Amino acid sequence: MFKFAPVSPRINTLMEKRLAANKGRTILDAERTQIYTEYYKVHESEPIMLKRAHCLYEWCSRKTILVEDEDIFVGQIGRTYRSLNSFVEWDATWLYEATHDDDTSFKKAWQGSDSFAYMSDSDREIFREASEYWLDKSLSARYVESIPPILQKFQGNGCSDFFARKPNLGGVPQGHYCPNFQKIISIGFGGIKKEIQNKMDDLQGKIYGKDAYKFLFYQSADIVCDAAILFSKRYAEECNKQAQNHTDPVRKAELKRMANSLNWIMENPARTAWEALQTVILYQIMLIADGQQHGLSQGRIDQYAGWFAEEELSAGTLTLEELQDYSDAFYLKLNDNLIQVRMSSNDMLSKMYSGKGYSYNSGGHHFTLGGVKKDGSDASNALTRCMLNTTGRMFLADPSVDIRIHKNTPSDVWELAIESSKACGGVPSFENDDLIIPMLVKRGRSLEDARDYCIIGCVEPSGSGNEWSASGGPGSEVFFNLLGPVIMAIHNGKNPLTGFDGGLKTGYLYDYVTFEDFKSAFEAQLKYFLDWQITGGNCFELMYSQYFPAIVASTTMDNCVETGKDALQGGCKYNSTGLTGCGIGNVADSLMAIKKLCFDDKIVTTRELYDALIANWEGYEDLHQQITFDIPHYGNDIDEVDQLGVWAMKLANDHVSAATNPRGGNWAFGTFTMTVHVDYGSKTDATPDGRKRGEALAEAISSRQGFDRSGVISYLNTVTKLPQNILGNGDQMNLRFSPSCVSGKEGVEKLRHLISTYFDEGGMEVQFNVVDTQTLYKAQENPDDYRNLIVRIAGFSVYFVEMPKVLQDDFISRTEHMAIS
Amino acid sequence: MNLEITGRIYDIQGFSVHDGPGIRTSVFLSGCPLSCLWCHNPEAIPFQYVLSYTSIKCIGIEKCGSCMSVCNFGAIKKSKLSNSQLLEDKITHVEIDRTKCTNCLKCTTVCKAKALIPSGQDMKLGEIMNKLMKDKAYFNGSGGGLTVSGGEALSQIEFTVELLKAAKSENIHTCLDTTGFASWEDLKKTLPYVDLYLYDLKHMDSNKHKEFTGVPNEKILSNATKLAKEGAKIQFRFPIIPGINDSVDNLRMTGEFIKEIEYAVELLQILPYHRLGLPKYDRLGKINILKDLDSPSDADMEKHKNFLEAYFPNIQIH
Repeated sequence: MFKFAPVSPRINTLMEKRLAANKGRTILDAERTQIYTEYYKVHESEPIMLKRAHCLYEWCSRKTILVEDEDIFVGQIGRTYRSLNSFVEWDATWLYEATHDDDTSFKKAWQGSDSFAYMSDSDREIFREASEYWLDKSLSARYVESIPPILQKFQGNGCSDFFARKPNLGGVPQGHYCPNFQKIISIGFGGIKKEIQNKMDDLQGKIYGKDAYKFLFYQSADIVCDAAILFSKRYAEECNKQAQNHTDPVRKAELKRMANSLNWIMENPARTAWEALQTVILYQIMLIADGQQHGLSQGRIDQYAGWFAEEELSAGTLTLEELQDYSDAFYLKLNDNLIQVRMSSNDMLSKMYSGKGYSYNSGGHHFTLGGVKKDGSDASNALTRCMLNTTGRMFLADPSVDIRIHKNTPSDVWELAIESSKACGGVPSFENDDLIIPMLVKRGRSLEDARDYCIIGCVEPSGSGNEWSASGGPGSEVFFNLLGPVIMAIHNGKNPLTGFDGGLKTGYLYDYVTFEDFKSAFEAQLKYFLDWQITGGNCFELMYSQYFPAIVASTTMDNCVETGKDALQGGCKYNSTGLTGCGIGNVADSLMAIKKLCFDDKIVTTRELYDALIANWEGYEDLHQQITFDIPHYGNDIDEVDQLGVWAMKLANDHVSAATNPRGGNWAFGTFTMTVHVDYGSKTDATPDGRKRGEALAEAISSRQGFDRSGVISYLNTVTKLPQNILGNGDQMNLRFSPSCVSGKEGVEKLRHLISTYFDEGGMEVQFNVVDTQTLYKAQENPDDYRNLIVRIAGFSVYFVEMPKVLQDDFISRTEHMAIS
Repeated sequence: MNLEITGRIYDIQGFSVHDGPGIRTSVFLSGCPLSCLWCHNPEAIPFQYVLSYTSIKCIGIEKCGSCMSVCNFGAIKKSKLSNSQLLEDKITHVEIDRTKCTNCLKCTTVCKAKALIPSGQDMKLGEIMNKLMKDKAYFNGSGGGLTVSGGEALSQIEFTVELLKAAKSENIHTCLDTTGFASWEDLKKTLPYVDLYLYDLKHMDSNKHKEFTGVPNEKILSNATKLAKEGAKIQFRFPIIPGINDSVDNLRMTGEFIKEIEYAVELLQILPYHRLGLPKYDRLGKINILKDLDSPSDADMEKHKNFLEAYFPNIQIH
């Protein structure tokens, strides 16, 4: 049986120390809040772009520098390891509430044994003061005045979550893109400084047209470069200092080497795999400090750093064992440091992540391995393999990893990826190069850029360092409930659960004379609400770009320095905006039920079906069972119903893709749901597919939970009918297998063939969990025994026992594809 | 090819990974002349469809109860109050009195929750072929294909031959999963259309074989030898049932038998007895007399494998 080799003793020590840091608690750290708030208070009138750059510089020059003896890489976001930042400029409401609570409640919430994060008394004071300053100045506080009043009328429409966040943004900062790590590794911030200087020289004394803006941009970007260089040198200084007095000659030499490298990198091009990885970590931390961290991806890390490693390996200056340690340590660095805090008392997403009002999570930090190079040949190298090893043996819920699969993916990469996925619950997930690359070319990327794509956020294919692909503009996911328009078409533009009455007056279910009438009404409502969702996203992005120019990212992103434009002003080479539809399985089933019951077979009248919905199926048990068992369901390779799903998805996709965003790009449609399908379900009335009021929606491109009754191949046949090759914002297919199904070398082979055939047939992404239902039930009963059981939800993985019960149940109810002879 | 011919089908399973090489779709035919004590598909043993009841699907007599009113034999009774897997509230399930039930299946026509269903259904060859063609992409490349299984597929020889023939005409790889308990004349008919026989060896002692499976083994063994001589490819499957067929004697005889025709044998799979079939016995209201028997340990399986390797090299624990 395949077994991952255990980690080296050094990594083991590192792991134990990191996981035990702060007595295993995560610290909510006030250092950043203090530095940023102080700067804002003193420089209220400074132009925002300069202010953001200066804040970062302040932070880089003042923040606590930490190097510990077992560190292979340096860099940490707070004063200690395992600490979190807060982003008061976005939202201070939750922090205000938390710090103004009475002492007993405060201690219980923030210093108790089950506190989600620890806040010290002294940090509480800093946060208290800061939150008082920000309470009426944060983006959240200005949200209402910043968006057109008409948008606020869409509260409670049930189709779009955008409006559900009002008035509290939940402190979700921007993100959902891949920064240009390649550029810093190749030319360093020193190189970028030169580019900036040339541009500024050209503008000196000759500022025409919009050049004043450009000049401001260059000034700001230049400060970011200085901050980056200083940041690295401060770590170098600390390493040098420790080296001087160190008694262990081995560590002493290592510290000197680290110091030497840290003095060099960030300013200059990286020279080794270690330097490349360290560069990525430091820049990533700077971006997080700036607040751009939500769904921030490291992109193709095995490409940036892996080719240095190949050179070093063949020159004999690096061993495979050392590279494996680098890989393990890099993962730990991400896991330890790059967690973000996502807090709000009423942010739907926070609740769904953690079941509490507060949560922290990886925020979709993840990277992409494998795939093809820009010339189309296989891109895998030694680091690809080391990182797959790390994924499979370290059991870290964060970071998430994707493996890009193409026709010539080597067998050992396949095997490592599948074994890793089996071992740790669906990481990595598999992405289909042969579908995604042509799709990106169709969406306007050059072939080389398309081949260099990576996955950002959850499952969205995006450019590496050249695309502002922010989902929903500012980078908060935009989820759209596709079942919402069905409700609107049934209830004459009204959401019976909330009383919202602003949809189109297309009539009630009992008004439609033919099935085509109902379809037309659905189509009209769908387009109408999609337009409002897009409207909201575009307005929000404008407001956002005025408060938080993405200067730290824009300093490196392709084209921004060339054009002198911030990424949020359309500075990047490519510009898209993502939107995600949920519940396609319910839409297909609902349309099918109406068609079959009311029009084709005339089993009930539209009035009777309407009454059953109003009654939430109470007293309509026969009808409910009939729908459950006698009506064809999406997910079973039955054309009639599957094609209704295809029709709805194409409609949504075409409508969204045609919409433009403020940066001169187009919106992109996709379908992945994270855990939003459960929350949306709880806010969605009974639907004709037999779904009762409040029940979860079908996730991603899946069928309704448990309704894929014809086995995995029929299921896959259904979802490959969907036009996956036009879903620019990505999609997601979850499969769950019992261990017996995929055991041994043979099992791995079969999974490989299943995945590759799915890809040949037009699948984009697939991720799978190998765990049996019994194990999940046991984990529910004895959570302590199953602490390390990781399951994949969407773009991220979580510890099963930490999910709220409702999500655990949802996960269990997904059909287990278990074939027993 | 007669696409209208009808088979009695117990189940069709896609992504079947335990019945032959690669990714396969298995068609299970109803009816088996054997009744092995350890059978994990007991629903497929009878030649007539029987009543299958999955109590967790029952929505309760509070909301339904229609099965009780249509049963002419008083075989369906109120059961105790229990939790429903599908519903929040407690409900009262029904219970089948198997001594009264005649398997008339009338109740299955009124059960909307599909808790009461026949143990199989008649399907036309054409329907099955449609399904197979949809799965075909997943067979190619993985070396998979169709597995005809049971029950005992040879008991529906005409249908089985037509199904295999149809699959071969579409270039689909075929396996026949069989007990070997059939006339040689019937088995011979499948020869041109089967790429690999998955052939059970349950016990080498004919008396024991009869005791545990209901039939003697002479025909089974001679059929295997004949298949080998005709050039068929065989994968033997030997279920290890602790205390029943795992004695050194039986292992030795099994090894010797395989050795004699090793030229035809691709693989010997030894399968640890598993309890996965137990819920199915509940559904049928049958008691599995091996209920308390544990699966053999990994170490035991390894030991058996090592022992058998002295006779035949290519052995897989499945």
